[in-house]
Amino acid sequence: MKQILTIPIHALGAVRGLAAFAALAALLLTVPAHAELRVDITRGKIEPLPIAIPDFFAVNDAAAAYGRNVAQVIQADLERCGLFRAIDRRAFIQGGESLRVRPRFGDWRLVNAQALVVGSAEIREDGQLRVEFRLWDVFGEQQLIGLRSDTQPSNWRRIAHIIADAIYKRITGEEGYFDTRIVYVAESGPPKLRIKRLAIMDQDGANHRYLTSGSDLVLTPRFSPTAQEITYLAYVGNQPRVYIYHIDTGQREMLGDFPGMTFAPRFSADGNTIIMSMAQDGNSDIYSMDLRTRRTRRLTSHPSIDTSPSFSPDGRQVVFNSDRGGSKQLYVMSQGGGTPRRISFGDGSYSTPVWSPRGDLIAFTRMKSGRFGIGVMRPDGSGERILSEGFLVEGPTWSPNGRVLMYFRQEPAGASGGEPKLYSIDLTGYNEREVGTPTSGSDPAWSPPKP
Amino acid sequence: MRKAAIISALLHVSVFVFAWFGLPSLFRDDPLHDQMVQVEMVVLDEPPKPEPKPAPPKPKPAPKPVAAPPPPPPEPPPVPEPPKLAEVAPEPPPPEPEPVPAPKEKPKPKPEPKPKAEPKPAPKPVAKAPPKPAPKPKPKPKAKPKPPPDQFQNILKDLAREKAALEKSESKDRKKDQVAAVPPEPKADRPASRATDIDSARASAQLASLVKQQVTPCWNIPGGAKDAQKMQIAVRIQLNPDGTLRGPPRIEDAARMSSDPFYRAMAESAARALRLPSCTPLRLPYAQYDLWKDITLIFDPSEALGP
Repeated sequence: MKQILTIPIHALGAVRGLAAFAALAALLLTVPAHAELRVDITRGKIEPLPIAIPDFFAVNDAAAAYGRNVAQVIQADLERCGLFRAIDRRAFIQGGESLRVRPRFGDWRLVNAQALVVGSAEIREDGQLRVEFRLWDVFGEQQLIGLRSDTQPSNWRRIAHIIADAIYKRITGEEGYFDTRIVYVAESGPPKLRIKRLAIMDQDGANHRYLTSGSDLVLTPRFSPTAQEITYLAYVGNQPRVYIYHIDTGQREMLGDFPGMTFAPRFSADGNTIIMSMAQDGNSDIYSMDLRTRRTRRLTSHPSIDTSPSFSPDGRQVVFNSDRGGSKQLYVMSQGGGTPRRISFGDGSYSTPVWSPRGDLIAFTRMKSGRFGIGVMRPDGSGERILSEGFLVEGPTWSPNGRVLMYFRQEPAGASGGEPKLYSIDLTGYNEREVGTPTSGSDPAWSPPKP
Repeated sequence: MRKAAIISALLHVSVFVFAWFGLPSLFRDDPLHDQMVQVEMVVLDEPPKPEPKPAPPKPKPAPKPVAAPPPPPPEPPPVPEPPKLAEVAPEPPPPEPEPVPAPKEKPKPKPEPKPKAEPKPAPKPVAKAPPKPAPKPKPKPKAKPKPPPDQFQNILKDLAREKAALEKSESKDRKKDQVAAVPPEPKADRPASRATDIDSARASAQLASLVKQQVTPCWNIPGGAKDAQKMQIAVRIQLNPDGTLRGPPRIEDAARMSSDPFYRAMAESAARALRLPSCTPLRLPYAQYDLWKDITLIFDPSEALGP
């Protein structure tokens, strides 16, 4: 009996041992295969991407200058945006025809390039300029994008901007903004006889010209979504009124005939509406005007000063600043009016809100203990960050991709300061730099992408 | 006399012309300049890759370059397990002719002689850890990742916050390096084959922190992108015993790569990080190769980009 009993026990033990062994074996076999290591990377850095942009290869002699210039404009664009660092051309190992066939990626890794732009320029028999380029991933050794264009040689600068946009978009995922323009108020002369003219230039400062003569004082220019009209405030015969300037004809027209002063105009994203302030009897409220019917609509009626309205990109909401709560703060309301909701609750006063074209943020000017700052917050008021500060920094405007802010900065009068200058800064708060203008400048506005 | 008359007449006419038409066209350069010329761009395909030169002698010199100069493309040393490579191989052109015959000679995933020679640069620091239990590991993390002062805050700039932080730090010493601190590795040398569940879990955690510590300084976060803080990129890499990549990093959500350019930008930034010379080869203990030959990294910028 005993023996009979013991046998199963042994057997059971053996089975158990076997099972255990099998389990262990299975574990050992599966651990490497299944339980592959998982690692969370939650930190990093914000640094420009090293990119190599050799001169574009000139297919014929006539194209030599174009090849050089196009590459330089592309490089300047990408460097200015702060997300790229161009590698010194003197370090390049490979060049010329062989590069055009296919990069030797090892050579480019040696100079620490992570992206490589290879292009060529050619003046064809019909006189057209042909430019083509390829963007290479140096680590992955593959083409990321390649484009070609045939156009008039006089268009070379635009081609360069369009290529820079394509590179920017491929690497960052955002639309580029290099093929755009800036309108701003060019200032000159002594404080008492200040001359303020509307001036327009390419985003990189090229093709600068004045739109108005300077006989009337102008302020707050803003582009229409087609980039062909500018709405602004001008004092004509001491009457401050909102005007529209048509860039292609050089004509200007007064917008509506209001009993009081109109100011702080802005287009809606669809271009059909202008929103602005009107002041009457010491009170200012927000009005919108439908440009097709020229009908106006009053959006706020409050004894406080409501001004600086800006539409959200979908046109459904309006952000503006008001001192209805005591100090100047930011409020959001629906495009038809209604009860505004306060969104700014930090210390200090908030003004000149501008809704990002991307919709995710609102930029503003903040004043706190005598100092100014340019900042951003989400439309619900959260996530406030101050990007730039100074004695006077004011009037932010968004690049059309919602990635960069431009504004003007003025230091106290003195040795080097006193004059307002245009500045730009990346949304991350890095890469603040001056935007060169022939004279002092204030109140910049960024154009939408060119058609 | 006649000359003078002609000049005079011309001048008068020009004065009249200027008076009539005005000067503006000279100074306000033609507004028609603004009639934008449509620029069309034609898409160019990637040029054909040159025929890879048949280079059978490659396998032999391969291990050396890995040890010495970082610049040449990461040459995978003779790879024990060919199947996955075959899928990936078509990408890299001439420099990496896959030695197809090699794997056949070595069917087992234990390329013993070669890694033994290599570990010098890589696992050495790790191997050192166990004998000297506590003090050694500590200085290591401090020296390696040089964290910016506000490493545990949002990496996006905020002047207001920086000012506040500065004021705080003046009164109190800041503590940092919590995350970067790597736990000591007492069992680095123990062969993985003897690991129990708990041991292997612990080993995995230690390996994960080693990987994290090395990859973090390589990742360049595309910070300003819209909703960047809401993205998570899972990237799978397979490693050779010497810590080099066996193939390109694989983004798990390939579909989203083609549909969402922001996601693609973020994913490519992760892939670039893993290919930076300072991140490949990864320095990991060879004895635990089985545990780290296949790694999935989750790149998650939400913490770095703040609320």
